[in-house]
Amino acid sequence: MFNKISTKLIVMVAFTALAIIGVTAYLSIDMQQQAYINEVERHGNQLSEVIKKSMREDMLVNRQENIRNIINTIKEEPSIIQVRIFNKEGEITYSTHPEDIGQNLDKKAESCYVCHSLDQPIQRLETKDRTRIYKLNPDSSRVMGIINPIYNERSCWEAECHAHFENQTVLGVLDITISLDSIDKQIQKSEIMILLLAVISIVTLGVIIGFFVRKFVDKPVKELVEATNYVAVGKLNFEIKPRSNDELGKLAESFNNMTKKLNEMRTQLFQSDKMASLGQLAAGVAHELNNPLTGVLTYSSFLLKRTKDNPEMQEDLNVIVRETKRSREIVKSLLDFARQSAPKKIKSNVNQIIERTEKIISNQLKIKYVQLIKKLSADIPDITADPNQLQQVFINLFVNSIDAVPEGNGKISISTSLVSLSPYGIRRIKEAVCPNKHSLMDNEIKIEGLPSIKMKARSGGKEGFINLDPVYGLNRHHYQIPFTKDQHVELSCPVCDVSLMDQNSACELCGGIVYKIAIPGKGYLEGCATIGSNWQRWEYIDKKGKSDYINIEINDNGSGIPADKLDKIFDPFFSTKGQRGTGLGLSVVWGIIDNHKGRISVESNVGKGTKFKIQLPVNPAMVDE
Amino acid sequence: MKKSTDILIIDDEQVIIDSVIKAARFDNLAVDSAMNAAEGIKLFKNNEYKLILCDVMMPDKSGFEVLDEIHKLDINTPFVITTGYSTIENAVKALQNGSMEFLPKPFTFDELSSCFHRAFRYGEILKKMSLSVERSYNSSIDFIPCPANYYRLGLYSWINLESEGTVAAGITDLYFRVTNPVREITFLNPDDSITQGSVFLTIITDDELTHNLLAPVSGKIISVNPKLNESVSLIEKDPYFEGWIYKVIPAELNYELNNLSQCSSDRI
Repeated sequence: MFNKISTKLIVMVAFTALAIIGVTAYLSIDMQQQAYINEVERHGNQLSEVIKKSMREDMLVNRQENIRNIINTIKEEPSIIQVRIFNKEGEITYSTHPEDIGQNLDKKAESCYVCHSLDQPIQRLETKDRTRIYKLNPDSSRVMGIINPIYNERSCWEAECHAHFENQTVLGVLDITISLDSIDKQIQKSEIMILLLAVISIVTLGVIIGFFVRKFVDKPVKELVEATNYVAVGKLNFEIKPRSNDELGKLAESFNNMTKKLNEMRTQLFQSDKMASLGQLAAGVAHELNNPLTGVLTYSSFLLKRTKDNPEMQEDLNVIVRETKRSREIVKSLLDFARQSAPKKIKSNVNQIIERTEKIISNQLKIKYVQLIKKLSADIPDITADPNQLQQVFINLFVNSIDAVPEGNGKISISTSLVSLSPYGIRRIKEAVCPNKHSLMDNEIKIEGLPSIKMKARSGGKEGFINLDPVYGLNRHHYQIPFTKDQHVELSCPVCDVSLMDQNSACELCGGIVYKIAIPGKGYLEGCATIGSNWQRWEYIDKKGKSDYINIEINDNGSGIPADKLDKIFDPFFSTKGQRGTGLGLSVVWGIIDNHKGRISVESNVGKGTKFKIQLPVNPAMVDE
Repeated sequence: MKKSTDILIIDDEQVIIDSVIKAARFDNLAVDSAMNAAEGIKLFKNNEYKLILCDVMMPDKSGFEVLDEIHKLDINTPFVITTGYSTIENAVKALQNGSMEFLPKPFTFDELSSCFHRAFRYGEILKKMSLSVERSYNSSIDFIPCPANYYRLGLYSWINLESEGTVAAGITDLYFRVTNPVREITFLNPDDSITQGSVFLTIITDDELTHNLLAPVSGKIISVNPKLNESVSLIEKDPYFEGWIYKVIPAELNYELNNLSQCSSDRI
């Protein structure tokens, strides 16, 4: 649950939202509170001034009763908690609470503290300094105290009562205490509102993100995971349906592309294996069959010779001899099939071979009214190939297409072109040696039918052999003992144990240690000596650049091949034609193309048609040597 | 004194030995047999044979190793390699290594029988030749070897590299010395492709036997000697010049020359 992207994303967004809303709320509540307080302050000062002014006359003539009356009237205002006047000595002279009258206030009291906090009392108090907020007792609501000093003036010391002297500055203080209860309630209300808003927005954000993540991330990712599982168990023709154009859509697309490529590779690999074993099988069968056939053939032909005077027997024996000879031809063709390994190659022009093939199949095209469209590039170079074998390839592919296309409306197109492909992932390493000139090639362990490069490997106390993939860049290495991923290994020659590591170089991908082995006459092969790393460099070959291939594409608008059969079509004895086909046609095609160091792949859409793609190296020696 | 027998057959398959014995007995020939290479080698070390027939795949040694053994012992007996694994590679390899012929299994009675006779005649020629060398006189020329600048595959087919890049191919005089006169020849056609070691000519001799001859090179036939249409016997009268058979555009000449012997090395 907590490992899901959506959960992580929601938690992250919630925290961010919380932080933003929190800060905003704090600032806005703070500002609001400040604004309220300022308002109350202004209001309080005004009030204090008004009271002071309204009592001025009564003070001057010392009408104490009137002053008391005014204070008592003010007291009725609910927000006003108390109004007090105290003289310079701190004695409360008037108060809304009569019991306080006559009490002396300490200089540390809230009402006195502002002016008396310093040693020398402040004579003049600015308006903004006159207020302070405090609590009467710890659990009551906040209150604002406003003090208003009553300054000495001429009329005071000249008054008849002679209560004050000329040299006094401050005669007393008017102290009003206002309740902040309603403001505090306001502020609390807005705090609750903002908190509520925060919770609502976080929940909403969570739901919306959750929904979209589920729709645009979770589902496609789940599909991708499922697809990788399918691929992991070997179902390489599994395809993800395209959903969107975003990064995940692109990922799905490249995933499909990858599985397609993998599938092609696997087909080639399977075929290599199969053809090799089929070749061995055929050779074995031929050899085993030929010995008993020799017995049959010599004895029957011997009898044929001895029974010249017995025409009836001659007739029967002739059948035996004839049929045995036929068996001999079948075995011979089986052997020929097995020895596709050595095509007799001459300089050939693929276009000419195609033209020649067209003549051979022209009758079949006519019978079914099939249209053959040729798009042959005039500037393809001649290649070293067996023209008869290639002709066989085209005949087999054309015949299949003719069988597949609808009668009267069939279209087959064939095109040739020159393409350049990089050696990485294609070039084969035929010989590799250690610094002491020991060959590293291993015929015992073959990778896709090719002898591998054997090296002794040491890492973390373990010692064993690693067989490198002889195809540059493919990295299908064979480990004779288990190594763990990202482990560095020290490689050495299996014969003389001389190190194959190169101290002066580092892997371009991970910066780790590299091995460097000599390819006689062809420079050096470098590679990362970290298990799992796929970095290899063969400068000599890379410098030669891409190799030219002749690309041949054969398209038809036939019935197509179902996806589940697509990877079997190159298998020997696999046929979709039932009794009409031997099932050898396409495996022969595959064998021939493989022998020409070429590659063949197929794409098909049921009901729409099939496309065969063949790539033949212009210079097989370049690909092979 | 060594015991002299007509034929030694070395093969690990009893039915092959039986077949050879059957065919030999029909021609009143004596046969020794060995079921493995070691036994065979022991036999031809101690006895004289007119022909040694040897299988390729045997439990202890291959037929090619037995052939090497013969060369080491300097035994002059015609040696014929036979195998069930009858590929053209094996055929070329056998001829290149000095096997007189390559006899692919399964063979017919006639094929076996004609092989015996060619071998016996070749054996006689070899004997005469060594005698004439010993006594240092030229008794009589038994066959005309191919010209020094020619190449041959085995004993019977030759090629001559021509300046235009084509090669001429034909049959050696020796071949006609070890078979009966030619009655009929079946040619391939221009534009046909041939492969080194595969059949490129079929000859029927007047004793009703069919002989398959193996192509010395691979390539494409561009012409068949038109003069042979007028008189087939030209092939026997002048086998190296007027009696050429095919002009061929070679496919892999440089590679295939390794499988051929230079006729100049035949001079004594």
